[in-house]
Amino acid sequence: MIYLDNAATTFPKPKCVYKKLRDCLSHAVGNPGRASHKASLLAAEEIFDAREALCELFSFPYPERIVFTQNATHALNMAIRALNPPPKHAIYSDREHNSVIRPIEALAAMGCSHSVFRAEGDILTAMEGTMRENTDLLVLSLCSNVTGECVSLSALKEFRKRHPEVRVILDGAQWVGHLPLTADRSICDILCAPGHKALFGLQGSGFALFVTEGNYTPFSYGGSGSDSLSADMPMLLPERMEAGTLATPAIATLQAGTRFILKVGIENVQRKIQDLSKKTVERLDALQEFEVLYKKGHGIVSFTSKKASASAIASFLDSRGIAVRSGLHCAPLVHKALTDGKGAVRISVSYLNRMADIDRLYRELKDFKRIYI
Amino acid sequence: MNTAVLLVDSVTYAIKARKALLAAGIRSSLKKVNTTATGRGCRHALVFERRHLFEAMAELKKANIAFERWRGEEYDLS
Repeated sequence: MIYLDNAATTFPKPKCVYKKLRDCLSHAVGNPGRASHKASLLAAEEIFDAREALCELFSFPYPERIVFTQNATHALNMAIRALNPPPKHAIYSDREHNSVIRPIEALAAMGCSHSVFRAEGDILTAMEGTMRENTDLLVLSLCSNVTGECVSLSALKEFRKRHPEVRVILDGAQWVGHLPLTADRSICDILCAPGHKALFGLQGSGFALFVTEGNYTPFSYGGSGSDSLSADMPMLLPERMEAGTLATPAIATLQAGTRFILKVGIENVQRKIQDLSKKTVERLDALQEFEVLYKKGHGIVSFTSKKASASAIASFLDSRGIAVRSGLHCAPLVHKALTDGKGAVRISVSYLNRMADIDRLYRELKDFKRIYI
Repeated sequence: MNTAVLLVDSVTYAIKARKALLAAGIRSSLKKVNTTATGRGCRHALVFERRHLFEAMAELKKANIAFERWRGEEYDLS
């Protein structure tokens, strides 16, 4: 199989990830932080190593402020609900995933209103144009999961400078592991990302990185392995936000995947993803049948056809051993804007894809065009 | 062996503290201890040779890790 659905979850993983999983399941088998025996301590050390690897990736000095979650959606829900005081008015872009849209919609029940801005052209002007007097939260995807379009970090930094009262939560699902990022107050208060995409961890891994210190409200309550007599969660991160047993094997693979990225070098990853994306666009254009939604996307190239549905194209490619994703990609607003809600075919690459994979995609799409169009 | 014990708030801080101590040449082991008598329930403890006590406390202060001296139990580090 040629796997080109890496924006959903990456496959394959680097060899070191499979090795880490085997090692972890053999040795770090205890419940981290819950006991003094070796198996528990080894598990706790695996998790701490993962915090340190992420710190290295983001040049972030506080491993204890990385909170592990099941995925990016879980992290975003946690981050949005953690804010204290709760937000009064939130803004987000029309490029957001349902992992942002739905949690913010749900805030309405708590008295928080929201506005949506078009993420076209000058994003700083767009964000400011949507603000109200009581706007106190911006939630923003760094890279669209439909078009691969990336947010300008300089515009984001300028927004932070001009509006320090607005808390910023970033969705790094399609950015983290593909592009360099320094996690600091100049860009956000909380950065959320999955572990199972470009960082090559297993499904079940994700994190929220709390850049800013604060009295955060726990998202869930339960055992934490410490301060057991208190009816509240511990006051300190990460335990304040990590109720219950962590997914040690998944987090350990996230650590191995992150170390892999660090070893390769994030700039080298960025370059290869750019090259693969560019080649995909060139090949699609060469077929003179498909309309690419955005030609400068990073790692993601989505397209439509006037004569065939997205699902028909994806289904054909699947029959030829190529995995891509069709539909709305859980991002309804961007599809309303760009495909009139009809959906698109999404090609999404990882560092482990080869140029030959794109050549094969080209040949199969050429065949599709010959047979069906 | 004559040991000293410092309590920290969680396993995350315990591992961070242990690394800070190791960087200063102080070997320690981690334990989970029941400190119900102090009103905190389960906490995590760094156990090391008593002769390093003051140096260890200085290292944790330097690393900005909150700790508390624990006189509840003796541990064998051998």
